Amino acid sequence: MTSFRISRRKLADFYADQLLAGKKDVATQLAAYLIETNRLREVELITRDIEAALATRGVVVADVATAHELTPATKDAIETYLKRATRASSVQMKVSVETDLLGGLRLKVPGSEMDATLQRKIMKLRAAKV
Amino acid sequence: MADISVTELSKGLRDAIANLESNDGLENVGIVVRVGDGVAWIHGLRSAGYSEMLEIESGDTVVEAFVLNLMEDEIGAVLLGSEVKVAAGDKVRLKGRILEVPVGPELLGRVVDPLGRPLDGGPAIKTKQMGLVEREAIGVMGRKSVHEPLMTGIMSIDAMFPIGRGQRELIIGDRQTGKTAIAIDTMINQARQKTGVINVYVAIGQKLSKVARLVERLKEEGVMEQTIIVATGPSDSASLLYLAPYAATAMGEYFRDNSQHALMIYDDLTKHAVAYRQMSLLLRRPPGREAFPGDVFYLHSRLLERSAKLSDELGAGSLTALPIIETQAGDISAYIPTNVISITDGQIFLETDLFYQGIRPAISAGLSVSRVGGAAQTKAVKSVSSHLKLGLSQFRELASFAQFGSDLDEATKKQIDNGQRLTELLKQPQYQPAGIWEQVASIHAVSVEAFKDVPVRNIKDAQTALLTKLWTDHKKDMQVLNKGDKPDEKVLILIEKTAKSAAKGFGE
Repeated sequence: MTSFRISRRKLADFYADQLLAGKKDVATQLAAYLIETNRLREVELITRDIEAALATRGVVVADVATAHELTPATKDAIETYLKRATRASSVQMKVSVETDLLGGLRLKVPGSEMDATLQRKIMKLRAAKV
Repeated sequence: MADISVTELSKGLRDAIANLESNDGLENVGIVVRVGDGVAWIHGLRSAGYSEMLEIESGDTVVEAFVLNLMEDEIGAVLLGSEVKVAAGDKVRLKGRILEVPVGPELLGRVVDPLGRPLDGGPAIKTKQMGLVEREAIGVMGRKSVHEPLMTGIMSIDAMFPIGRGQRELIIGDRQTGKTAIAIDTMINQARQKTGVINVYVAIGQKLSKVARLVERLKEEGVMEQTIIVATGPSDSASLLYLAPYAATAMGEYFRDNSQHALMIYDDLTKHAVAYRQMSLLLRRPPGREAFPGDVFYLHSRLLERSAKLSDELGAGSLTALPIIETQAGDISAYIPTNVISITDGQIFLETDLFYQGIRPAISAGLSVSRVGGAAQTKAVKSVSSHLKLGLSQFRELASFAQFGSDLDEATKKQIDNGQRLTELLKQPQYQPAGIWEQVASIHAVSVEAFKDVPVRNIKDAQTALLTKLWTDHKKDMQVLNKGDKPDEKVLILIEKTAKSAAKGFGE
């Protein structure tokens, strides 16, 4: 049987549509396809593509990292901000505390990022000096 | 009807656009999937544009790259820095602009890399303006036909293949035939004749020792103050070699667009095409003839099209280009040479045989041509050199024919004799470009056969004697002649007389 390579973008679009339509076995289908076509190395990239595809359909999964624990009020503010910035109807936040960031906040949404951490500011200063 | 304020309407519209375009601090980011051979493959960044700049954050350092391949799942970007520091998983940001380099008079006298960073150990370069590396060439209505001369100071070129400001004249020949020498002499002549033309020399993959020697020489000759050198060496990445001529053209365009005249020397475009081939193959673009990609013609045509003579409305500035192409065993029908020949407005072909016969510059009279320079030739030189090219071509043909026997008629013998004298006269040592008056006097002396009794080996001495005598005794007339206007009969007779008297000392 001849098979042609389906692009990651098409796979992600298919997955997102099926997921939003409530089809639960779509993960099994995709896993089977990746095993059969020997593309398991691409799992991480496909996951990112699926997140991006979901974001264009109004469902955003956001990673929020801060140096200190967030208050519920700040979390709400971030959610409101993300809804406005990404024009999403639903925002799911994964909040984590990373002391390496030193201060500030890092928001990751599919395909975009806002890095307002002290760590990045220091890195930029160092790079500018180089 | 309510009052409508046009100012507020426009402001409202602008605000609405700004709101829609605003990303509220969110930046586009992607990640490096794999990297190698100066190319990084990046996942994400779906809004990236062709030739857009990227920043790859790798630990504490930032490496710049520019996008050349836009594919469905990933983009291919060429790194501008060391790939050693870039690793898979590194974060990549869009810079939202295409590559720019510093441009302006602050660059004069400096040696820089294609990104405008100094290589001469001098202070940092702070220019008021930046210029786009990739820029569209000026349109039809913004141009004017080439009509002002760009004197190279090389007699055989100025007399037979004149170059005009805004022209693209290719210098083509095998290795070690004096291609760069012609370009350097032309740069030196701009300073000697005080033409005010700015020189921009682009070394593409040239040995850095050669570039260093060139810089020293230009300093000695006092040319460096009106010169910018954009240098890339053989150890630089292919991306820098690829960018060098475009970046240098952006620097030259600044002068063109500010009503000045600039001269671009691309040394050489063969290496540029090779660098582009390397990049294209690494980006997995399909190879074509000689493994060059399909757009290798466009690579050079879009570069050379930026050289132009601007219309009076745009300030009448000009950008002249002297691209250099290296051939293999004199084969001008190879892929890149034919491409560039068809793009340019003529070529100066240098022959190895002539070079080793001691005829330097080794310009082939038959294969060289200047398609638009005729209109730009200095009137003074034009008035004495109209039959030069034909005479020289016929002589070279006859000379090879005459080898087979000595039984030649008088007319042929005379033609060969004249040709030999002319060939001898057109020999010119390096770094000694000739002024207009020197060219007119020398060519006129041979045209009127003033040197007919001088043995061929003494022609150069007779020429020197003539020029010395003219400058000592008739300096004013020569200064007038040097302005380039058509010489009157009186001056021509004066030259003829002086030549005949100078020749007496060298007769057999």
